[in-house]
Amino acid sequence: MKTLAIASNTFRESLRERLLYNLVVFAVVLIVGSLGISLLTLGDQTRIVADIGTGSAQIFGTLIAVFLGVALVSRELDRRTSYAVLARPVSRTSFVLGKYLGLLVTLAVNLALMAMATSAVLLFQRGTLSGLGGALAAAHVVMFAQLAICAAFAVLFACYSTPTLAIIFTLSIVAAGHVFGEVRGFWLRAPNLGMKELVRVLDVVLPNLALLDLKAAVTYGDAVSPGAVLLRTAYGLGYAGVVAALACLVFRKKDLR
Amino acid sequence: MADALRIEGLAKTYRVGFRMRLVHALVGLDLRVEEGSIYGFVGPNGAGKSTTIKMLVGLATPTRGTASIFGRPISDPRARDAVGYLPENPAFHDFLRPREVLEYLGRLSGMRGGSLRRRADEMIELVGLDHARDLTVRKFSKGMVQRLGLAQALLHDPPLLVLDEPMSGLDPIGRKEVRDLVVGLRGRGKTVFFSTHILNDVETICDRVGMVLRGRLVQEGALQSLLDGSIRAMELRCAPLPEETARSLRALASAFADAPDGHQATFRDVEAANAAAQKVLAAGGRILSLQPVRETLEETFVRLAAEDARGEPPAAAAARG
Repeated sequence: MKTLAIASNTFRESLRERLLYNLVVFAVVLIVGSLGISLLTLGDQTRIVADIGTGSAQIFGTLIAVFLGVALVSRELDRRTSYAVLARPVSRTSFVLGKYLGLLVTLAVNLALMAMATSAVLLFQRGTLSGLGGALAAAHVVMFAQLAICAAFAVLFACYSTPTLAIIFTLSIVAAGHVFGEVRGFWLRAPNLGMKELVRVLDVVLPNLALLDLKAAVTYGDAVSPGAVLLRTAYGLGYAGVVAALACLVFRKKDLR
Repeated sequence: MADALRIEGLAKTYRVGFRMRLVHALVGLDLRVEEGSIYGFVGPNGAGKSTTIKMLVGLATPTRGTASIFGRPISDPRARDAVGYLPENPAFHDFLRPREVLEYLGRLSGMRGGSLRRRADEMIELVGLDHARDLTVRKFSKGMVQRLGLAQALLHDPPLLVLDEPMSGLDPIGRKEVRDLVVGLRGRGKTVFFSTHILNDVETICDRVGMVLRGRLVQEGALQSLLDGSIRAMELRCAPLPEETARSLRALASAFADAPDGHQATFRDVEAANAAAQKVLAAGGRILSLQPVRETLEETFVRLAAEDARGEPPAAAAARG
């Protein structure tokens, strides 16, 4: 119950963030604007709308997860609003999990909003969502798992570092997670590559964010099996859970000065 | 009386800066606070008061030593069920109204529903924030935030109040109200442990005092046992005297000055003061007052701080009075 009280307060706090509204409004404008952009292109205009829609949701969702995740934790520590909370019979774990859950709810609401905007634009353009609806939903479900990982890293780094460094660290991990997911297959198969052991370690340690990216399926109208969505989401949420547990562990040892 | 708070050998060392320099914020503190008493924890800025309090309420982990609240170790979060904590310069989410702050924090103390709402309203009234119910904390003055801090500390009716600089940011009326509130809490059987560097507050309301300097407890005991009771000087005030008598008084006194209602003289000992009083009476003068000058808590504190700075041991051993 205490974790839920902290989560609910964190959600309320995030709804008052100007940054959140700026990013969400910009993403929605971009998604709606994709209609105009698609008119300027040759070929399948639906693909342009779907690509811009899911791409915007991913980029702006990631920015919200990182910046808001760091801000919601750092601010509690810098402004000392956490003192009155942690001096009550509330465990450090409850506090971190509460902040993280509140952040996840915010991300879910925003992602749903952006998914609705993309669906509305596609519906307006094609008159129907048939053949795309399933892939669109699957892409956003898996994208939520991806954002959950970004948010978990943001919370972890905010627990022991300054806000600026926490943002830099988190964005670096996110970038590495996307890039490494794309090139790992090549590196692991390359016969003459040195430091293969390091690549294998990174393969386990870094989040495979490319695995949680189903934008192409939406763009090209590929079928996505429910099993694959379930497995990928389970991987993403499992990974995020491990990082969140690490954040709890780090915060348990932290002295508030 | 049982101990509300027991601290044994509590120490805290921080690592600061890029080179992880060691800073000893607190060095082996031993302390007991009896149930139902008001304990003043005094010391200059940076002495280790807030560090001690942060360890007691779970915001920092001791490097060494132990502490317990009503017998429960501070490492157990349930120990904080019995504590109401007012941080130094308290802060709350500035988008919330006072009742929302109290309802949020009350839920974290296990309070629920109608009883929580009623209690929150009572606390808002008690600390004088009735007029600010509809304002968000963002629009509060420093004194109003301090009052809200007191309200949240008292919200769950804890038997132990740990207040870090409770008078900070309050105007004279607010300070008197807080002093009255603290004394009233003792009357209801609560224990109050508060830190301050305003020694007048301590002299007015505390049963016991602990003085901490550079991370060490240098003096601890009942308030009267800490004050040096010996007479340091005698002060005589009298109505205007003939010039010759005034001159003879000036010769006896260590300090002599004209006052609006006559003269004021300070004498090193009782004998000199007696002789001066007799001269005044013999000259047909009128004595307005004759009183001993004793060491105040502030003077005791300044003396101990000076001894500590010179590296001397405190004049009186820390003793329980």
